[in-house]
Amino acid sequence: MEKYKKIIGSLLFAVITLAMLYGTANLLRDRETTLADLYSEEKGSIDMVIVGSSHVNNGIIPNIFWEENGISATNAYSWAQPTWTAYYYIREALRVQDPDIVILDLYGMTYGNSYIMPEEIDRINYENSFNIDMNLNFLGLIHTSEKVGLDLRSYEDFLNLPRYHTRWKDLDLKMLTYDPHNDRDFLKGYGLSYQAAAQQQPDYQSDERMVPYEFCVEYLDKIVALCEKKDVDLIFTMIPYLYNEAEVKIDNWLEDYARQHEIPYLSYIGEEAQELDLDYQTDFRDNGHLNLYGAQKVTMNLSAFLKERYPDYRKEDNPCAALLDEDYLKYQRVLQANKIMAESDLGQYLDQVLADSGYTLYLINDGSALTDQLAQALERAGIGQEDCTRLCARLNASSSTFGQTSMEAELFDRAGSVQFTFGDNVQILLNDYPAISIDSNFKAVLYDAILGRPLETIAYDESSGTLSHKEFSTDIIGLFQ
Amino acid sequence: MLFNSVDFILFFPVVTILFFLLPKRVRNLFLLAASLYFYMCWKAKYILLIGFSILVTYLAALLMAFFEKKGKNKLRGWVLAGAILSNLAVLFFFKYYNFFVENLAALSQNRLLLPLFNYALPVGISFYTFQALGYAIDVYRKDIAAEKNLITYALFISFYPQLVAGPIERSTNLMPQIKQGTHFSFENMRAGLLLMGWGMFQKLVIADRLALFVDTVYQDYAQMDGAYLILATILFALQIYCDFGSYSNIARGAAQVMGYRLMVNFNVPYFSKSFAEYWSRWHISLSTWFQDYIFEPVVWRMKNKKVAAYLAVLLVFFVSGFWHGASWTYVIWGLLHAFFRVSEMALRHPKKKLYKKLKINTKSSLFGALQTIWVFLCVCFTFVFFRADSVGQAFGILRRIGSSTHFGALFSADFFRYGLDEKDFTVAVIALVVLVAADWLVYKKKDIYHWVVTKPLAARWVLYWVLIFSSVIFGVYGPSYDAAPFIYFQF
Repeated sequence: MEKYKKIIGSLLFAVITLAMLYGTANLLRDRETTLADLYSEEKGSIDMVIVGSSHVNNGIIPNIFWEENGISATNAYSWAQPTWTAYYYIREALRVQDPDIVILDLYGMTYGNSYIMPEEIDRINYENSFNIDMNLNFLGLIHTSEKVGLDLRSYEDFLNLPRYHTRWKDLDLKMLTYDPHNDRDFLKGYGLSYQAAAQQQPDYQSDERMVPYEFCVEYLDKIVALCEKKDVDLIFTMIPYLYNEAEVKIDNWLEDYARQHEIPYLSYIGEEAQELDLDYQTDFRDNGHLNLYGAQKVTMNLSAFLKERYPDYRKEDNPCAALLDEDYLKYQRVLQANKIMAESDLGQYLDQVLADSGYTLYLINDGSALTDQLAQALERAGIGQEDCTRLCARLNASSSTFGQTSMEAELFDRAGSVQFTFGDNVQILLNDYPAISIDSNFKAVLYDAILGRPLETIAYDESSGTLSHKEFSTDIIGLFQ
Repeated sequence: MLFNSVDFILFFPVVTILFFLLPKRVRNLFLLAASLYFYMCWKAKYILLIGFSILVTYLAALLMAFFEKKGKNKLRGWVLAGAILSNLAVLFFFKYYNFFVENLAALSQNRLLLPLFNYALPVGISFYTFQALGYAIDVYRKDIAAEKNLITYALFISFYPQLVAGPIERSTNLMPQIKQGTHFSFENMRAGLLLMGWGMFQKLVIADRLALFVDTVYQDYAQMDGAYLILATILFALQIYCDFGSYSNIARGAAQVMGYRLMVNFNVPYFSKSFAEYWSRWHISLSTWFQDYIFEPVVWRMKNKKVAAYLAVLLVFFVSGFWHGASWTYVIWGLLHAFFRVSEMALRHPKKKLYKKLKINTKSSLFGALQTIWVFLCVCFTFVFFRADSVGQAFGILRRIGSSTHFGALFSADFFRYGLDEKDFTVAVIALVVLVAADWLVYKKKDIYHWVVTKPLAARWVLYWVLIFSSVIFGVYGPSYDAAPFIYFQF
């Protein structure tokens, strides 16, 4: 009897310990994910999933498909996503949603021939494989990444405890409370960027074919088979970026592949890019990614294609139509914010801030003598202040506050704080993180309560009279929200 | 396969469960196969070297037994010499040949240039070679009969818990256990798992955390304040104790779960009051090996026992230095220990007289504490050579300590820039307090295991979970850190 008691006790201890280890692993795991929208939308409400790398994140605006086609869509992306990761993302999308259409960006097929080195892709992919919930797709993805990547890693590195146990150093409440399944994203996985950086248009042309990395082909075959099996319409695309010669040859191979499998392929690199009327001076954020203007062009082109192919989608058929309409209105706000972010006159800029109660401007001035415009704006904001050479302020159409040497303000409309530091290092600290910095004695951070995010840092140069803007891009926005 | 790896966490329970599920007659064969697999996870081809060592000493033992029957004692000596030389030859080529070539070239001013032998050092070669040689000598001395069953003998040499970093087992201890076989016991399982848990704590929470600071400071020693170098050396003493001690504890624990009892390898050495005591507590399996197979034969053969003892100490520590590695740093480390040990022996009576004359109470706690501190500081001093990458670096560190030491530097904000941030440092301090408290209780002959297992069930389980989760959460492992192999693997 005693013997059995000991055995049962040991087994019970082992089971409880394993459960506690599993719980600890999940507790410490970083649950931030690029698939938050996919998880948080009501099951059955997403008609189309666009899968791919950051090219998808910056290049496709799902809200447009809703407005133009009545198709609810979301981007399921991860940085530098190779095709095997795309395969598991599609599997995950089919597990948690019931989409009719999958659009796959084929940039992942250029693995080993792209502007990002394979080792770098493996590293980024490894860091992002955790975007998937803990399930068989997660295990499949880490197993595959370990097997097929060129920069092989020990499988131990993918497990939650080895990977995340050091997070005890940065414990915060969000680790306990954050649930990606409740984190709707009104931009549906679109990474907004207004910033424009002129690029040299590639002019590589070739009729040659280059076979992609063998595992990319293997996993593309798997994606095709999976979509066939699940009766999902598969569409290929290649979102514009600054491609090289090898990638043109791979693109040719992919065209053959798509033709062979009777899959539509909307490639926007090479000659095909011409129909977009893409402007390489204004439509790119950097050499790999489109900005808002470029993304609008690509999305509208895809939308036109979808209109022809799927004319029967109606907004009213979607159970979440009202929510999706709200999301679209927020997207329109994005376009509206574009106007203020392009403003070059400080006075006009401050006028716009004070005319829209959604905007809040946190500003600091330590020595710059822009007295007239600032004093007038402060006066309009209800702050009677003659000397503006040294102050910090929170300007908003409905209520404004200011201080001469210090001021504590709430961080936007959420918990947290904004602090201002004077002296050698003039800074605005958002939740202790320095806001994007521009070297100037006068700087300000613009926050939009409707979008729920900071939009940009501005700085004013007295000598030239220019107002410079630096936007909060999607990749760092999480720090400040 | 490292003990502190997920591979081992899977390997160990699978092997243990299968071991007990299999019929007794095939258990040794299974354990041998598992042990060879364990070793081959590093470099499969080096299994041939273990195979060579096993076969040579196995056959030598049988031959010695055969010649004994025939009454040809001289031939027994030749067989033993052959076994020793052939094993040492392999050890020499893989561990010392390049060192020999480099020193020969330096001595001859590059006139004698021999080709280098570019093969990686086989993990644990010094451990299993010494274990095999110990067996051959035991058979020669007739302390144990030659083993006829090759599987039993091969398992004795390659038993996976102690294969790569000891304890260096004696044939008289482990071999009978292997021959007799073991059975499952709840007590063994619990005691073994607790020992393994404590070993994991020592390795993951203490040793590898201290290494973050020690490695940073030693790497950049020329820029460091002497105070940092002193602290790093003291912490290295604690690091290597926890590192090697943890391996021994995990090895002993893993063996005990399967019913085997391996010898204790570390017995709270830093509470020693003399060097003689220190060496009876530090790396006990190696110290006693040297005692049995070098020290005693040398002393036994010489007429002047006092001189013989000094010479034997010198020889033992010289060999011990070389055993640790093919580098003059280890040799100096060994010779420094020889110096301290011989001084202690030579000054024993004069010191006694002096204490008596000065009326010093040598039995007081204060005197005992001062002795402990003295021995610990001397040991730390020798570790400068053990840890340094070269003799030049070791002297550079000592010069730096001598010329630029400001203890105030330890309290500056810069302290947290050298590998240990504030949080890691706090964990290290707490863990060291736990370690010292546990070692003190062991030193005072308190039975911690008995204290734990006689607690009520709930309290016991909480203690187990504290041990497990402190290693899991506060351990230094995973991609955020560079995985650190056990230091003694290189020997």
